[in-house]
Amino acid sequence: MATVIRSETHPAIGSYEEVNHDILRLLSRPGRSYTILLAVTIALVITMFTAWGVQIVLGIGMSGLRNPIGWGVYITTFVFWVGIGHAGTLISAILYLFRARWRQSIYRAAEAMTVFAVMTAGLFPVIHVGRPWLAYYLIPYPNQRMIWPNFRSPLVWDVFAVGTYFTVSATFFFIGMIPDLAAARDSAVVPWRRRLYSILSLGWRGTNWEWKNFTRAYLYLAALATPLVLSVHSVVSWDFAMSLVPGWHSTVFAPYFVAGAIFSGLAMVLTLLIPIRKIYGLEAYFTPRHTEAMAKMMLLTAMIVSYAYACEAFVGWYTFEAAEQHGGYLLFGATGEYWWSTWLMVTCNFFVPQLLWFRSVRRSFAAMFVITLFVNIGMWFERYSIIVVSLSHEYSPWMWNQYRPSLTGMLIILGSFGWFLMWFLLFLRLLPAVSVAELKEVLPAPLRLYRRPRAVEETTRRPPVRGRGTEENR
Amino acid sequence: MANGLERRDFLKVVGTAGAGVALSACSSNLGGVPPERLIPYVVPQDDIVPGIATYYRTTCRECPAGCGMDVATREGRAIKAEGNPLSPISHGKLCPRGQASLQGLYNPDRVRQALVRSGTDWQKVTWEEAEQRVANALAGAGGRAVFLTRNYTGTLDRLVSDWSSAAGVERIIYDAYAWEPIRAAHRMLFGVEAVPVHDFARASVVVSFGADFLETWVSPVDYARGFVQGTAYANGQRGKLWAFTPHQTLTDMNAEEWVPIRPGTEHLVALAMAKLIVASGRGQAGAAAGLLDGVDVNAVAEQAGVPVARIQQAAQEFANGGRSLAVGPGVSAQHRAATAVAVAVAILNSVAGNYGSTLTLSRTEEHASRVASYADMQRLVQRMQDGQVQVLLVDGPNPLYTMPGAEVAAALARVPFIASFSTYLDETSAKAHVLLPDHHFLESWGDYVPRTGVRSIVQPVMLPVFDTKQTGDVLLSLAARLKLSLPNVGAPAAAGPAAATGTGAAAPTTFYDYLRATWQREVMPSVGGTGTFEEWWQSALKAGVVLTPAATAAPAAVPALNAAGLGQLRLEPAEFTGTGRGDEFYLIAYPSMRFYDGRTANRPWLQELPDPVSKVSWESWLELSPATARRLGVDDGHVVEVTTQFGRTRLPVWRHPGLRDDTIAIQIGQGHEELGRYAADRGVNVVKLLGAVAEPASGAMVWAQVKAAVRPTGEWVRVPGQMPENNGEGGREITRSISLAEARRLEGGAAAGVAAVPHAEGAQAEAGEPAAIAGNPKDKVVTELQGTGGFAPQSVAAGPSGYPPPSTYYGEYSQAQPRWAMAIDLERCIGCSACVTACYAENNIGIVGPEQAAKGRLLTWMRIERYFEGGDARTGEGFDHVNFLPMLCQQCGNAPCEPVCPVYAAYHTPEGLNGQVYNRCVGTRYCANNCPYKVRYFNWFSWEWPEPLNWQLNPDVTVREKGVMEKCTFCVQRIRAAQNQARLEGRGPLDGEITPACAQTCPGDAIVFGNIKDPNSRVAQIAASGRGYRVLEELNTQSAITYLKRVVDGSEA
Repeated sequence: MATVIRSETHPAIGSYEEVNHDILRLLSRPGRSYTILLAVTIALVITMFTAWGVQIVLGIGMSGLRNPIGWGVYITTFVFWVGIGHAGTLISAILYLFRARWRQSIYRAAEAMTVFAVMTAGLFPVIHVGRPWLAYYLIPYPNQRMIWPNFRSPLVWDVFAVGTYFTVSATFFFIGMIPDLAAARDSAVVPWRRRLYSILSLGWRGTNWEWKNFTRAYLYLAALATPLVLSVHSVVSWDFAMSLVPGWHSTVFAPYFVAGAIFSGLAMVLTLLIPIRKIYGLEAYFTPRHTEAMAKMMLLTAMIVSYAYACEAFVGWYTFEAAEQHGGYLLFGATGEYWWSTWLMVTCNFFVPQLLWFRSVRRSFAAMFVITLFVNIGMWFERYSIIVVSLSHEYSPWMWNQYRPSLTGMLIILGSFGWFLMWFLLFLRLLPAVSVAELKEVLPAPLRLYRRPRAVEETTRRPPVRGRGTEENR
Repeated sequence: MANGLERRDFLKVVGTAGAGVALSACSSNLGGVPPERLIPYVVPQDDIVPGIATYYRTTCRECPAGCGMDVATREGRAIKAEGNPLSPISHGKLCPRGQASLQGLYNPDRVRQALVRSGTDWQKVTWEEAEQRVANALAGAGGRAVFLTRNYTGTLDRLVSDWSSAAGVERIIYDAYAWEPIRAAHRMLFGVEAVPVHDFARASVVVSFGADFLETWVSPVDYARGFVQGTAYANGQRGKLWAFTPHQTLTDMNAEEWVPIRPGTEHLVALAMAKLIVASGRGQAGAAAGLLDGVDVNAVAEQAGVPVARIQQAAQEFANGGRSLAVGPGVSAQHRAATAVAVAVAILNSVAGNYGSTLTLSRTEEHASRVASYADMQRLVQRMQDGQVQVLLVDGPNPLYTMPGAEVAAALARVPFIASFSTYLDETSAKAHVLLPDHHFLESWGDYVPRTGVRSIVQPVMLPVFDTKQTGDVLLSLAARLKLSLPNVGAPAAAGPAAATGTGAAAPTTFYDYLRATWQREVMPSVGGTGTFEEWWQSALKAGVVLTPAATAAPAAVPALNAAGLGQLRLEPAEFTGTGRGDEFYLIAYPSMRFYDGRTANRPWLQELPDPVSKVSWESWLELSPATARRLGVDDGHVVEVTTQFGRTRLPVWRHPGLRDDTIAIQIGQGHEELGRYAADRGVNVVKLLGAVAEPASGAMVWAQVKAAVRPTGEWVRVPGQMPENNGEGGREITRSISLAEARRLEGGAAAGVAAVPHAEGAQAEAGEPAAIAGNPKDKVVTELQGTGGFAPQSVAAGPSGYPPPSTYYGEYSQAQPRWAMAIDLERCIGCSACVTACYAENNIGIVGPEQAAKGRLLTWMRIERYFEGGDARTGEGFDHVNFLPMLCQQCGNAPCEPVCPVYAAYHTPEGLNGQVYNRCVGTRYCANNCPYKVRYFNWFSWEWPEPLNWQLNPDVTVREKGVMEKCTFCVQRIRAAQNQARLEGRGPLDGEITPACAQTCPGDAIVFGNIKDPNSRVAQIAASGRGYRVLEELNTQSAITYLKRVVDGSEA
């Protein structure tokens, strides 16, 4: 037995064959726990749409919103999911451009998370508006009356920013997956899967010409997606920064929101991947090296976000304006009736991430899982604080009010998590969750001697090679 | 089409038929109206033009004041009530109750036809049968019948008197607020049992002893208007209101000097003031000298619990040569010494020389003079209990609700036959055996004499909504059935009165004819009417009110004080009874601005309207001072149990900074058991906590009589309304007040005289009014607004040169366009909230109901903000004065709401308005977030107008559905109507021709609307005042509303 040359980034992975086996194995028939989990998420989705239906029929008042708090948990959750959607493109595009080689094994899942997060986020503006059946008014479509959207409105910018981001992310997600879909096609034994992958892989054969075009396209898309990572949440932040609301109209909002988005997105990636690693036995693919790298980025963005908190509080105080001093979500929020929300945000986003200074914490899956849960909660409440607290105490003291989300609102929020997880679960079983092709880039070239996997299941047994499969060209 | 209809013929047929169908839909279809009452549209009525409102003049009968009223009707339906500018009572203005009278007309809980009781249920009967039952009962009553009527004067009063004496029925006029102490005092002192007419406009110093003359007291619209004219800042001068009262009502909140005296000491303070004036040699005591000798000022200050210096200061300011006025007592001060208060107030006025100046005995408030006292009603109750009343006819009053004591219900149960003419099923009517519902006053003929020499016509403004019958006609019909012979009434025709259409020449057989005959016989000669009666009658209808010479006669010589009864006055505080077991608080029951004595509690507009004082809607509340609340450990919304020796109830707390620590207060008017869906089972009826106590001297009901115990229950409810978290402004400077010296400095040019302000022929034009106009017309604010057709971002502070650019994103607007703007003088705003209800009526604003109101979802396009200034920021304790601020859409030139709307639902009109296109609105609510004034309101649900409340909807204004943002538009429908009319006449709209609903009804004329680009317009001139400021100006919203700072005498410069 010759010694196997190990990958620097993924030392536990032995061979290309092993990669194929480990990844495409996930596309087999799911177990009982998966089915139950999927059923739960679908039930949540049904709950969400039922609650939404009730809200449409009776009125948006079912959301618990009231004057003057026109935006509440729906916009909070919209911003939350858009923020989550940042990590995938960051990992896949920016880290690709920077040649961060540890990204290979996780970027696919992160990208899928991005696409589903933006799909989830996209529901919320429609859920939020008073007359959702007219939401298409926000889209510039040619019409006889020559009425166009108001291009000065940040909400219209939002439509473009989020729409563009979704289009590019989904395209990037799909393009990057083509070689793997071909591999899945080649190994699929179930007819409908083979048909599905045949269609999705667009006839990929793995020729040099195809690889050349593929890598070029991938690079360009990465370059295109990179500025979007910065732009989309900047535009979302302008929903607030462009307004007149104390606590909102702040120039720090764009970098603050982008940093927060990356912070929350990385947290969500870890929250999702740590259990998947355990459940699907992907220990070899997702290593402490990954958590460490992401934890460092989280630490950086947490500090940026915390700096923004301090900035907001200081500037609010420094204005010596009553509305700013008593209205902003940080100054008023820290002492007013929403103190719990503000302090939850500061605790989860500033104090808890301080643990990431420690290497042992960064490399511990259990610790990272707990910390990222805190960060997810903290980032949701950050948006809640910004939106609800600021709107509760504006310029007119006569029109101060308190808001608490209604049952309908909470069911829809809960359902949105079901909606997101449903898509993610389907993704895990329908599409290759780890990039087979790119992972092989970081593995050493195959030697003549390699270990055969100990057991190959029926469904993933390598099918007869038709034409030239992906393997041969590596 | 050769053989068929020609196109034109077809259109004619369709048009005629369609119009007929449309009109038949307009008339009543709910009660089976006889077909001959349909208006044939084939020959269109001259006064019904589809799309154009027709106004009818009538008289408001919601309270006894009798304001002249103009009612706008559209296609046969009344849609808006306004004041009759010719009426000396209303001056073209109305209070919230008057505005809401339409919801009385269209109330879904009206009694819809004649009903008789069958067991616990009601059975529909024909009018003939119902009348026959009453006639039979009267025939068998054996003279033991009583006719309890509401407070009316004029022709119906005459008919009822004649009918009662002919039928052998005793007539009693009942009103819960009858002002007996004032009448008794004037009988004692001057031999005139009447409430004199108060001329507030002439009084620059007013002292109130618990008289809520801005809300319900005697004639609130006239008095409110006069009060503003007499005391608001003008030409460098400002008057003053002193309020000696333990508890601040809206009236007392308008006082610069609130002196929280101990309950029951009003008369002592008034006499002390009179004594001080006499002692200073500025007044003559006359016959009261002996009484005043017995007053010890220091002892009075001790008893009242206030510093003697305050009384001295008030006395000094009060003695100002007949330009002052003392008023009282009101209902809240009607305690066991109420007549003593009225006597003391009359002496104080007499000492200060106010009789003949600000008060006159030659003209009286007639409506108040003939009402039975509470003691009379107690005797009636006793007789009913004794079985001495066989038949009780009730026309309007609701003693079962307004009279304390369980014996009232027991007494009604002893009466074998009760017939009620009430329009609504109130508590008393619910005990009746036969219901003969009267027309609403907006469907009735009649007249009313509110004060000497003023005859105000009541005329129907539309066909009856339901199958009701005017009580006057019922009485005539009953007279025919009973074969009574009435003076001036002819024999009925065989088919009954309804079929007879008299010309007025023959003896009248309907009430309408009876009314006309009376006017022809008496009123026309009294005013020297010329020509035929028909012509004169039409002109009288057009005027709505006829003034006889007595109305304008110079005040007669003031009779000397009669000292005869003064010896009986006891100079000690009024007694409050209690059990002595923990009942430490004086309980004040005070009338409601919104519900009067409870009669208008079934109007959803009034229920929804945040109370002018507490800002609570739909609920009752207990007023506690913040210190007391802290001591009891309760806060706003905590439910407490209030116990008196007569009853016990539970209600939530509202902490009132304007309340003594030893006093609690509950408003009268809620807690109905009947009166329909909007009133029943809502809040508590404070009368249930009171005992049946009459004041011996006047027979008045003692409203302030008991002490109460308050016990926290630990429960908390979310109280509906618009209560702010804090009573202060949180440093925002939303309202601003300045000292008199500062005002004089700011309005510098005032003394030099202001150019005469040109007026248009409009409701706002009134001689002597625009005194607030002063200063430099080139004022920055005005020139800035005048320069902007629509939007032109000119920085308020000096900016870099060339900024902002002359043209904008919106493009430039033609200079020919107007720029609509408003000026609101906080000096003239009394916080009465009539504008809010007028806005609801004009703009089809939805009623959200108590649950939604508790969540802060009220749709008050116009709201009155109320701030306690200079006190604790949170509770308002130790406040210096109260500021009111009407807040509505500021129609910003640089509106924050407009750019953020993604679909152009919020857009800028060429006339500078912030338009809102309801059809385009998607409901992102971004505009409302971005509005710093928070005047955009969202329709969280679709609201309902139960049939026939929806008949009132203004056809010119969209009814908004769920999911749509809505807001004030400066009544753009009125602007368009005036512009269209002007265009038809080939001219531009005149200044004053366009009046938004809020400005129209404002009793103080605080709101002035117009085109600020016209430098001669009234709004431009007022906005140029040195007192002008704009709310949140620092945000550069360039709002179109200029507020004029309140002037607070004595505050730091």
